[in-house]
Amino acid sequence: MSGYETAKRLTLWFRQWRVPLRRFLMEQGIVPAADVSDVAQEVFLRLLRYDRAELIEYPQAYLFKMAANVANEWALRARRRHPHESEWLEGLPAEDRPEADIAVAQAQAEIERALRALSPRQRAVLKMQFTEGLGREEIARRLGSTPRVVKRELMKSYERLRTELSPDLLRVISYGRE
Amino acid sequence: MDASERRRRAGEEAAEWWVLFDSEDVSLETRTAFVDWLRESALHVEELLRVAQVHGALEQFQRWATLSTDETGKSHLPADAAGKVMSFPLPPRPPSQDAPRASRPRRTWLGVGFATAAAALLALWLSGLSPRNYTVVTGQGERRELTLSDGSVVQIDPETGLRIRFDSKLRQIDLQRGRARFRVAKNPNRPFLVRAGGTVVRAVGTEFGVEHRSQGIVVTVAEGRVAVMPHNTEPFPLAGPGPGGEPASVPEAVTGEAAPVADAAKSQAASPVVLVSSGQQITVSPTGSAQAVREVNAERELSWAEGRLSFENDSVATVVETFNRYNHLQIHVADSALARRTMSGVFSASDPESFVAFLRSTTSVTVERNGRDITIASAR
Repeated sequence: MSGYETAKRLTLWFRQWRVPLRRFLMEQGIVPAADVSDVAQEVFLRLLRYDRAELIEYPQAYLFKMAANVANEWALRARRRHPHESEWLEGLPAEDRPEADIAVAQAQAEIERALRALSPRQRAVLKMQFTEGLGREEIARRLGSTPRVVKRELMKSYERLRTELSPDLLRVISYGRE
Repeated sequence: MDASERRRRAGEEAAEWWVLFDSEDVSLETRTAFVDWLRESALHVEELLRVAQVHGALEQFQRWATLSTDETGKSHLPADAAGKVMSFPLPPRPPSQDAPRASRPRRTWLGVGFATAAAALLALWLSGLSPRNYTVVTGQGERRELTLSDGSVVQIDPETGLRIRFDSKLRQIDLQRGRARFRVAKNPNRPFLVRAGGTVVRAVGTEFGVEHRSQGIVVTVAEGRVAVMPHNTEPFPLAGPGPGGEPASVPEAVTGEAAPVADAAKSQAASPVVLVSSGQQITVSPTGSAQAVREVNAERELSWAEGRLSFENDSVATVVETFNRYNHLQIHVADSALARRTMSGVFSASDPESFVAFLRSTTSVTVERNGRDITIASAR
């Protein structure tokens, strides 16, 4: 896969989006009602307003850029309403917050629990992808399977983990550290 | 289908999209289907973002090494539990996200669904109605000349896509692909901006061309002066209201669009502005670096806009490819020796026959016609 193709990957765009969204979600105390559902709602409306032909060019980029914009705008709005609290939060790196550390540890346990709900082969596929960075052909070769089956397993795994993982802990872990 | 069933389905589809987009060079059809799916429901958007979170969680997971992938050896469990794989003892589930959240009544999807859809449709309708905001796409062999509401003239080459967004503060053109030449009506209070692949060209009153070429974005100035901001990843300067009269979220979303991820931060740090004057040309490579400004014969470089094609030591393959973009009549080159041969000359874009005649007069070639196709080959 060329560098250009790699740049079009969804995961890379997601990583760009992660930081602003984390910053925003860290301020949950300030904006209690807002979370991913609200961000999604707003992003959806923006997607509808936006020119379809343009979206099609780089849908991944637009999607996460819009999500990042929404998160940034809302965080900014919240900060204006509660300047003191947010200054305090801004100056404090997430890593130094003991409660965040506990939450991260809990989240690790939670992910492990969810992963154990998958089939052994699904775990094997994910492990190879995330620890060794293997492509689907290579994973298939090692498992004596086909890339198609590996893709299927990945889809099933994500779907299962999505229902298995608690959204609150997901929030902590997805944006917890860089 | 009830709300939780819809959510389950959306989650399933989101997982499929995620995996699809994470691995492959996604085709236009796939991207189109993906965009349509996203725009079908906010639930789809939400589920996709949640799948992204799952992915984020897996990236952050630190205990892969001790995670068993063995069929039988549930190594983390006591021996007696290993036998009962079917009734695998899960810790109590945290409250499901499907459960209604009493404190947040507006998240009842069934309830809001219709209002949301109505609002969304209204927004869509409004954006479609706005007369100053439209997209022009030309096909093969199709050239168009447009006079814009401010008196500026745009000459659009075949196979070009551009979007025109005018408001009281700004005149913006997004050149999505292809090339176009602009003759800009003077109005210092309302800058004229052309964006191509992240590069922004700003003009006050001038004439210039912007092209997507294989080596990058090429800007050629015939008259006056323009400011070129290579690979601008900042929010579009002075961005005005978007389509629906909303303070635009949109321009920000666009500017980083073509920037490879690694370059985005880099180019954000320094976005130098290069001034290009009449008779000059600049190329911005796909990575966002601008080459030195060079002197050119601008009229010649921009002659395509007038329907003239000029070539200088270009291969026959390149020339044929260019002609084929301009015409329904298609020329085919039968052998690679001929395709590699270089040639120079100026032709009318709409007259491929004159090119064939020219080739015939300078080289020994055979020409074969079949309806709308002409095949040329080196004579043996």
